[in-house]
Amino acid sequence: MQALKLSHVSKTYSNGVKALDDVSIEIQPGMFGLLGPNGAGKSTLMRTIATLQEPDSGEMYLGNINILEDKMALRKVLGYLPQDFGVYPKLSAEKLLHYFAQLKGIQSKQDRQKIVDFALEVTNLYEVRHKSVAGYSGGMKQRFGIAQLLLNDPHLIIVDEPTAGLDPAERHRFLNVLRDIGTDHIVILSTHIVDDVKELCTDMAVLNGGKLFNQNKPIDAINELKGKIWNKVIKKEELDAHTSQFEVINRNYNQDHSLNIKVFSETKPDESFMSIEPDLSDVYFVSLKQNETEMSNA
Amino acid sequence: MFSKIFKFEFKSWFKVPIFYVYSVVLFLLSIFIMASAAGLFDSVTVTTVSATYVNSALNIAGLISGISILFYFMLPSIIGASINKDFKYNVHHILYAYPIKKSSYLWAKFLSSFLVVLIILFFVILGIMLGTVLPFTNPDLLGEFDLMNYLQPFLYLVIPNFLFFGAIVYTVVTFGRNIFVGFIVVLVLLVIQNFTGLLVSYEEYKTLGALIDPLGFAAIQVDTEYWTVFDQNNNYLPTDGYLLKNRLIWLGVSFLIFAFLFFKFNFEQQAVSINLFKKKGQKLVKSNFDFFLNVKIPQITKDYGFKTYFNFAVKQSFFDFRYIVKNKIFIGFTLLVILIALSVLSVRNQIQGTPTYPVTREMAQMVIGLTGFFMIIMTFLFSGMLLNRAKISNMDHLVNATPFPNWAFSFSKFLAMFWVQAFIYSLLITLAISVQLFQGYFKIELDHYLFSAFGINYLSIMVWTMLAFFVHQVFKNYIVSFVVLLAFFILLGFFPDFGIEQSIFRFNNRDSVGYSDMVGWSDYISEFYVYRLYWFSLGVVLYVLSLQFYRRVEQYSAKQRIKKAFSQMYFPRLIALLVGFITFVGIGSWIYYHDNIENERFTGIEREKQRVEFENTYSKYANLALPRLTDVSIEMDIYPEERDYKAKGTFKLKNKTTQPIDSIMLNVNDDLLNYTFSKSGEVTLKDTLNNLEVYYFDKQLTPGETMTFKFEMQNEPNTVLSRPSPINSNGTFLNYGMFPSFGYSERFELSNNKLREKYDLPPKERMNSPYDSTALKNNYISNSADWINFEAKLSTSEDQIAIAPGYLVDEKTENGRNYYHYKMDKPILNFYNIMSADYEVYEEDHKGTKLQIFYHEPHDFNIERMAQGMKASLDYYEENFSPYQFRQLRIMEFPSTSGSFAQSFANTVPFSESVGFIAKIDEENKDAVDYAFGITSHEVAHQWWAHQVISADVRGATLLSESLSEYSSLKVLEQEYGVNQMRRFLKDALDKYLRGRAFERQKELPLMLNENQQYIHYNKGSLVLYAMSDYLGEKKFNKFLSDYIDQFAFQEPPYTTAVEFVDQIEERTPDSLKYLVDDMFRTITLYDNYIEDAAYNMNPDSTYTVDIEAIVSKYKSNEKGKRLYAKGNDSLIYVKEKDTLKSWPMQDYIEVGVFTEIEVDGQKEEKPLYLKKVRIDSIYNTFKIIVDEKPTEVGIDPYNKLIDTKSGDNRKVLD
Repeated sequence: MQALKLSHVSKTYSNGVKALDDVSIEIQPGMFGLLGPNGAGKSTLMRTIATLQEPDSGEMYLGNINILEDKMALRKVLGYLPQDFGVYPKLSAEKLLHYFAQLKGIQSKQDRQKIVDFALEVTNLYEVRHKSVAGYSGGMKQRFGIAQLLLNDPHLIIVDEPTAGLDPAERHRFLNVLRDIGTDHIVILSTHIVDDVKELCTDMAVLNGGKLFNQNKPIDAINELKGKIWNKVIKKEELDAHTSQFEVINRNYNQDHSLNIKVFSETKPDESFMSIEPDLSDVYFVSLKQNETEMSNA
Repeated sequence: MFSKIFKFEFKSWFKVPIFYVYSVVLFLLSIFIMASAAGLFDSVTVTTVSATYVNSALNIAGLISGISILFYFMLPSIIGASINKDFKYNVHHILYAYPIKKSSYLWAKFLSSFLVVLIILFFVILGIMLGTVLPFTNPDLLGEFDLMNYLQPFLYLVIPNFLFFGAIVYTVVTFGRNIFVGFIVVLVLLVIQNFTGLLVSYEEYKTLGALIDPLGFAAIQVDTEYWTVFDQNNNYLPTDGYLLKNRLIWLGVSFLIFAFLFFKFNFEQQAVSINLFKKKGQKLVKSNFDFFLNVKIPQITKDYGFKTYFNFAVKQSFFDFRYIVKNKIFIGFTLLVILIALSVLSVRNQIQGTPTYPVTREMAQMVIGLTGFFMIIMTFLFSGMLLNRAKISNMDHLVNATPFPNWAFSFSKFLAMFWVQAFIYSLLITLAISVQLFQGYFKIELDHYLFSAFGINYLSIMVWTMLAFFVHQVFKNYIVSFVVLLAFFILLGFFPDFGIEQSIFRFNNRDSVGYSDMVGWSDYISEFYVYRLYWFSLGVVLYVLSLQFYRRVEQYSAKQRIKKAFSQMYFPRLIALLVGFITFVGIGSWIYYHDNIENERFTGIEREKQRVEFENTYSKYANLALPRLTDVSIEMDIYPEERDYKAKGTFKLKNKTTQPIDSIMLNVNDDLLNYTFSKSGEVTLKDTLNNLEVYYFDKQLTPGETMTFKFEMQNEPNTVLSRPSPINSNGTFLNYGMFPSFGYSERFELSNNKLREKYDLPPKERMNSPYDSTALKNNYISNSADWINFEAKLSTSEDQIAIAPGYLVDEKTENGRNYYHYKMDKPILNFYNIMSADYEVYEEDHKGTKLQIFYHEPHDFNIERMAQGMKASLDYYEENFSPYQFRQLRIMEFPSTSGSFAQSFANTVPFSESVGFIAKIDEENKDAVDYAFGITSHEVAHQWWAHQVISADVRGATLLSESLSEYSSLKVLEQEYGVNQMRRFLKDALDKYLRGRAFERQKELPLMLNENQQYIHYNKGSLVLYAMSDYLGEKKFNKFLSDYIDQFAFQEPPYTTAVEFVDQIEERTPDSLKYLVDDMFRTITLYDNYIEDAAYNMNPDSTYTVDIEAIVSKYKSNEKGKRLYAKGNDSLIYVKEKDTLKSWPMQDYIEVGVFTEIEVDGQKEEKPLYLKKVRIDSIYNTFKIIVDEKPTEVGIDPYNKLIDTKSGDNRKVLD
């Protein structure tokens, strides 16, 4: 199985926004989670890999395919679900999938029927296949998105914020589908929801301000933070003092309006802090925090 | 709230480029169009001349209406966009939850964008004003500046129209939440407008058309149809009449639309769907599996080969085609097209109320005519819609990430466009065939329909489609592309005005070929296909570039896109691009070489200057004495298959003057191989540019001496690009004009006086004065002959008959060719024709005269009717005028590609296939004139009026030929069909005369002095002579004509004139009616007569007393159409409420009539109870008339015998 390799990919928009800043990464088969806050450049990166946009500089390879030079070769093995998409109105799921199957070069009618039926089964849309996709609920529409990307048995699957806007149950089920199909392929899942990555991904990275860092396996990343995350309950008024003194990576209110803060530190900051088990969201916030510091130092 | 939204919206327009782009484009366009009408480009193209001022209220209204058409298509992106942007950027989700009042929201948005529209319109007006004051414009074309001329169209047309268009566009976009529907609505409205333009050309539907034209222009057309040049230059737009009603109707409709919008609109997240067949909407929820699957993707094979994608592209073209045709708006549009097509196809081109048979030639022509402009606009619109389909649905990221190649996407859309276009063609063809079948016509030529559509018209539509694809790929915003395409299309129409005259420089020029049932496709079809290939290769270049510019990958700058487009090109595309480009340049150079270098080509302005040069150099020869032709003998071999001819001619010339003649001027042509005179001499002047030679005799031609002139001719070879030979494969129609002629020809002189002034030429009348005795030496037909002996020896192919004037003295078939020898036994005018075609022949003997009709076999509908016309005419004319001078009379059909007219040579009448032969005559219909019969009798009358009596070549000449023939024909028609048929004919003639005055290019003249002006000599002439005959009595008038013939038939020069004719009428007119001669022949006089009121009472003795109040007034007109009244206090005055009526003094006899209706054979017919010419000397008149039966209608000049400015109000129905 071939890996996706990006080296020194940069993109600056005409309005001056640096969406991608020297991004280099190698992604192996499996589920890859790309975490990042809104506006981090996730969608730009996804679109760039999906050949819908070109970087100003850099190179991208999937195995032997030079993505920038031979977009068609990549598209043949690509399954892409953009963050936000529409469909032609008044057309049923089945009809639309047949249309996409043609676009993806599935030559024989039997094959198209087979793969469309399969995609409908996998996403559990088979019973509603004659209904217009425009009338689907949010979750169903996202599943339709998955159905269409499956049609060409893609090696590289890119899903851009697929769980945004889904209710927890629907989200959960959706991730299951992704998991099922994702084992043999490179699946890149971009999200700002840490739990998505936690539940699914074998690999992850954080993107912020167009820069990529902390590429790691989630387990390893968490392990790295072992003994470095400290917890303390403080009063609201004490927050400012704590933020200036410690690297506060997270805070949340308790029911009695006191604050729970988490601090990143190699050693115990002081006696009032208690060591706690790190989780993936700590990894995320620590990364963001470090990134912020780097940026301000630079 | 309102003012806040309004201000915010209004300001936002000044931040978007579209506002500035539209303003600049329309501003420049307005300047250019106005300036070009005012002669700005006169230095590079033909000098602009016009009798009307380009800045009159009427002309400005027309100009603004024209420019508005482009602007209407911009409205969706202004007024539509003002609300659509809320939907487009999903602002409405938030906005509609705000506490805004719906009225504030809707009206603020509309009014702010409408104000923007008005600002842009202000630039249009400003542009038009500026166009009139640009340097190098011609001040002669402009009247004095009058702000009202601009304000009026602005208030009456522009504001209501834009309000209406704005309202409808705003409403459909609000409900449809899609700008696209806005465009289609505009298109639909323009279709309706076009249709009303057609409606007003039919008398019966005029009112309807004037009222339902959403733009009001048809109303203006009807209101001003009789406006003379003076009226056009000096009047403001009419403020009463149809325009007012029309404006009120459409303002009302706009109001209703707003009301509908207001009540139906709600702040809702979902678009309102207006659905005829309401379906219950349902929300689908289908949960995912709750358990884990073991996913195993089935084995499938993929293929990325060309063939697979090609097949898919074809498949998807149907998918895209269905998308368009299933679109509700498209269906609505189609229904409208069907409605209009059916009405146009079933009424067709009527002449005097009589339609034609639905022959496929005409139907196919109408089908193409109907598609015309709208096919092109639709192509611009729908190709944008198709190319952006994925993007509009926000599905572009999904499809763009698939491996489907760009060319296959593009090709599938191109093919889909073809299905749409083919669908429209097929639909219209089906309708046309249905109309044919429904009207009982079964000679359906499906192949001709299909070839006209796909073999001819589509070839040009295809190139437009390629251009549309290119432009839509270059510009990201399909609205911008559409406006660019449309602006280009409109501008293209002005290219010749800017001095770009050659077809190779005018995109997609040459898009049609002539077709005639007799000839088939015109020979020029070869040239047509060369041009098609030429533009197609440019189309290929554009199409390949459109692929290079295909938007698949986002976020390129314009510079990057251009660089990408030219840097990476697949090999096949490069080949296509190169082949296209090389073919384009190659053919272009070939045509250019052919048109400019091989054959010298002159621009319009160069030709104009040549004519000046010609006059300056040669006009001194104008009065040179010429020998005159006495004998003409032609030998001609016609080769229809090769489209070639060879000819020989022998002319005998005689010096009829009293002076010796030392030289002769010859007008030669390219076909002339050689010539010889029987008198020796030499060519002393040879001007190859003007095809002119002067031959100087060694010894003078003494008075009375004769000589012969012999020549040989042959056509220049026909090539793909040029068809110099006048021979058709079938239906050749030649005349005397192709042979060499003698003397200076004034025809080449510039005739327009303003133009002559520009080139310092003395002013010139279009014809010589009848009072100039030297002008009487030539007859109206020929300046080098009086009466000639004529013979012709013709040969043609075995399947054709060749015809020339004269009796057939010999006929044979040899070596597969037919030979004919025709010879006249009496002198005729120097006016003859030569025909050859595969004819069927109808033959009949009528009292010793051999009648023949030579016709194209399928056109056998009216042969006997035409024969009847010949017989009835001969009988009437022989009885009333004089004996017929020949023993035969022949009609022969010629192709419509040579014209739509009939012409009368000595005993030989060529008659176009498009008039008469295919007329569908309904004898029962009183409102339809049997024009097959009418034209026949008119042409037969020319055997008297031209071929017996011919006027000198001076003003008024056509009174003696055309007017008298028209009169004679009317009389025969009256005898055949009864007096009732006259009403339709006279009304038509009056209408055409009044309308014709509006189009006068120089000056209107009285009938007696008319300068070959058709509206005067045909239309006014027939009215005047019919009335004169009516006033004097038919017998008396015909006796006069007969005496006149006795006096002048076959006369030698000096020739008679219309002045002489009128003087003689006057002599025979009683004093009480002498005013008629002055009014009708010597001056331009018009009446304005109408019934003011009428009522009746039953008397005890069962009779009825009818009381009539009638207004009678008349005025004279000057040559520009200005009304003239008698000087001082001589004019009659009548004050009626607030109007003061004026009239030229009268002692006139005017017919007053009372009518009733009776039933004859189940049909209602009118019967006059009282009809008498009454003496009238005041404007206001009352009549008390007692009649025996119950009256139903009264009238003053009820049969419209007089020339009346408004003919519709002469009668009043009694109730």
